[in-house]
Amino acid sequence: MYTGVLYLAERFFFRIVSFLRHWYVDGLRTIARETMNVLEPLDRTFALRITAKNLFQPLYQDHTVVGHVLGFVFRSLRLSAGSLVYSAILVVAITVAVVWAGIPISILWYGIHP
Amino acid sequence: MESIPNTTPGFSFSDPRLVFGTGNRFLVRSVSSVTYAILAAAALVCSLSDLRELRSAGMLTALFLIDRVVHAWKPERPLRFFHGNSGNVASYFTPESLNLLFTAFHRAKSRGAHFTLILLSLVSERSEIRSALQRIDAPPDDFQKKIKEAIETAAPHADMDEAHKVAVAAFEEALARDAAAVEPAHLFTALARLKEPDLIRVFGAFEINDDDLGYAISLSSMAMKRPRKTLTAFFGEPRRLRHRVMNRAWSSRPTPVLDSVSEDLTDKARAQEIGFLIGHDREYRALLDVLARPQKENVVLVGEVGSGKGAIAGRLARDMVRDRVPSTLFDHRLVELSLGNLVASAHQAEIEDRVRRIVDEIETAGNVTLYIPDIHNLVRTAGGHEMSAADVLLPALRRESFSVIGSCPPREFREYLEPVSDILGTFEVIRVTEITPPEATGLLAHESVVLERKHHTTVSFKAIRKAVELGRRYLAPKPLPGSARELLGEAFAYAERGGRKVVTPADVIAVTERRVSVPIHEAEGKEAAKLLDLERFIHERFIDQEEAVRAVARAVREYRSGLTRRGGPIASFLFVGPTGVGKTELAKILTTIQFGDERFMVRFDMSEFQSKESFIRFIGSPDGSVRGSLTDAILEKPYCVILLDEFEKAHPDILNLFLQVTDDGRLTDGLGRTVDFSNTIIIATSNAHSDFVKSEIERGTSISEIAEQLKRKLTVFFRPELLNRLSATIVFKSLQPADVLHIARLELVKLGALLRENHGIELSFDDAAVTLTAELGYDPAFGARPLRGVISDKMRAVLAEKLLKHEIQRGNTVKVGVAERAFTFNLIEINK
Repeated sequence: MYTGVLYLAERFFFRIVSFLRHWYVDGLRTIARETMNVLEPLDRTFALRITAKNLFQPLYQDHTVVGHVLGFVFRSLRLSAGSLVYSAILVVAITVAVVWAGIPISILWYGIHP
Repeated sequence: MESIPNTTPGFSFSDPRLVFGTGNRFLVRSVSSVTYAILAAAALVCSLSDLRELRSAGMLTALFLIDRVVHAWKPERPLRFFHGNSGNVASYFTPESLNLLFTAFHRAKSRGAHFTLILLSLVSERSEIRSALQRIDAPPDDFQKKIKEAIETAAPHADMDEAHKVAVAAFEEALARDAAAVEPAHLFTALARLKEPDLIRVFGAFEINDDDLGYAISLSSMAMKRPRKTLTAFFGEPRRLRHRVMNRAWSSRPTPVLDSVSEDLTDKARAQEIGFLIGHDREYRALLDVLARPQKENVVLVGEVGSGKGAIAGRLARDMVRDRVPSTLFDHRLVELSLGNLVASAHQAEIEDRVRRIVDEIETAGNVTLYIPDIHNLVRTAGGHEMSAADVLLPALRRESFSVIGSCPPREFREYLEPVSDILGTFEVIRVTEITPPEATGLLAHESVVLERKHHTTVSFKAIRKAVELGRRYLAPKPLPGSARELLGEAFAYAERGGRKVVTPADVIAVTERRVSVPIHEAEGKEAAKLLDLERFIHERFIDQEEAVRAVARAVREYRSGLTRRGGPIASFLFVGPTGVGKTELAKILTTIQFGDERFMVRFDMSEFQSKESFIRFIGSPDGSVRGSLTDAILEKPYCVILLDEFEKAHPDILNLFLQVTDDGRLTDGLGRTVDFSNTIIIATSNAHSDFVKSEIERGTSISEIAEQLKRKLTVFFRPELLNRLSATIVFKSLQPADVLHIARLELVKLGALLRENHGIELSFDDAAVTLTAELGYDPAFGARPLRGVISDKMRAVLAEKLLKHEIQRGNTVKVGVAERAFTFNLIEINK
């Protein structure tokens, strides 16, 4: 019977630690993963790194002055739009993460500080 | 905390609940249940309270309880976080798996029963396991019954070591299968893997092996998923189906001419139509390595048709779509050039022009990797001294401005590409070998999920395994998985036509038998009785030569019982004896028994292969200009009786070939193709030392003694290794006039049957006619050889004339008699 009591005591503390681990470690990890899942397909459209690498390359192999100018203009627009979208998503993700992390603390704060 | 001793180095299983007694178990369960109930009530009451402190506590408790509900069926730690090769594995088990383990252990302890059998019984009651059992032809209820029988008879056995072993084995199973947690299914496969005598008895009764179980379980879970049209769709996330001619860097150009004669594999991969690959890891890694290199980024995949060259290209397309490729291929398209479309309704100059334009487009676009199936056809686009499409492509390949992946069967590679060193020098050759039977089984198991949906028929796992086994054995040289896929596809259609809802191994056997004309199914009932009495059956058509008939019958029985030695031919005999004693006749009878028709006999007169040069005629020349008469015949008819007449006259080099054939059942022809002899029966005949045989028989020496002496004498013609590798050297006795009388009767009966069948005329013979036929058809030097000639001259010819003159007609009965040593043909009755 003594073993059973010890086991229950151990489980009690284990569940509290598990709850915190689930909330903070797993919860924040899930938010990060989901953010990446949104960003990854978007990068197939905005392709920020490749666009930046090819910023001064002519558009669609048009090696005329117009091609170079258009390449720079369009790629700059794409970079700007991509950066804007990526930033917006990152801001939303960070907000969700902060709110998520703050929920238990704020409930606790709400209880102990009138 | 109680820990179970660790018998497997590395992993351990430690959970105190396993060793709890009834009191402790009751305490833990009741306290846990009561606590959760109190917490739920407290969370509700406190959350509704006016006091902030209580409301806060209530909300925190509610969060805690929600977390518990969310994680109630999950393991304490997901398996994907496991790293290393040691530690306690208990935290990676789902609560269900732990519960099964504990319940089985406690039950076994309290009832004095066998732990692993109790666990097996509990696990196999689960729905996913029942469905898997159904797939491997093990009816779940019968399986349960068998376990219960085993529990009743097995000695009680429940110790920690056993529980530890099962738990660790289940963990390793889950780890190997890349699972998220240790599920009850892993406990089940672990039990099958344990090789414990009591478990082996249960699994063995249903011919279940652990690999089959693993596949069956994953198949069952796949089949329960949402229907998909293609296999790749089961494993990939949906993508937008947009044709991407332009790359993401906006640096490419459209390729209209190329698009008109090609298919974009990256588009197909995006649509999840291609990209699933099992096996070929070595080839795929080599392909990526070559394509990632800064120079010579061209590859030719050399492999037989159906060996998986296209699947490798498909996998590359899938990885390109997912950006999982070396940087040289990043943001690229993989385009399959159709040579058929390229040369369609175009003359030589136009083809060259098209290739030039395509090359220009690809070089300008800069994002195309070209896949050319049957690339050898590029060389064949021109005849004689004209320029071929390959010549136009070659400068571009030398410039290394884009990558080409070609594919080609080995024979065509040697014939068309190897002689052109310019082309060969620009390509890295990767040999694509046949995938292994387990890989083919895995691939077909996955593909069968799609087939099941298409045909509305399920397939048992044993049918898949049988298709792989028979495809490899009977449809060689066609490689796996192509051969097995064909059989399985036909088996689906066969079962569907028969109105059956499950494809079983019997369906696969039936379609294979129909295809190869070889009896494969297990002989039962009348057929088994006939096999047991085969000697008598043969003697209905064949007189005397007991020894030879016994040897032949034994070989057939061994084959039908599945006891033939693996690796060699079904059997190989040397028939020795004078001419006209029935050596060829017995070979024909054997062909009919084994393969159903005399057409399955391939005959060679070895006196035509006496010179050294004839070796080339026998197995073919390396450049393919001379075809191998033996190897081509076996490639065309892999299931046959090979009759080698006058074997002793063949050139020694040719005789040496049969050392390998009789031992390995394989022979490599001049072109380097491996020819499989494992489904053939080889019969070599020889007249050598027939005088010796005759004189020894006259002296009353036994046949077995003669055979022994003859074997020594035959070493003059054949190497002893060859004689020893043959299944048997069989001595044929000279025929006596009495034997020829029997043979004459058999031949005349055959003639009568022919006349009845074709013209509806009854033909009968009186004894004098049979005796005269035998007398005329016997020659002491040639045995019964003249017999057929006599029947042909004296009877067939006369009957043919009478038929043409309408002297005999349908419905007549003709009796053949003798008058003054000449045959008479008397009309008994005429129906008008």
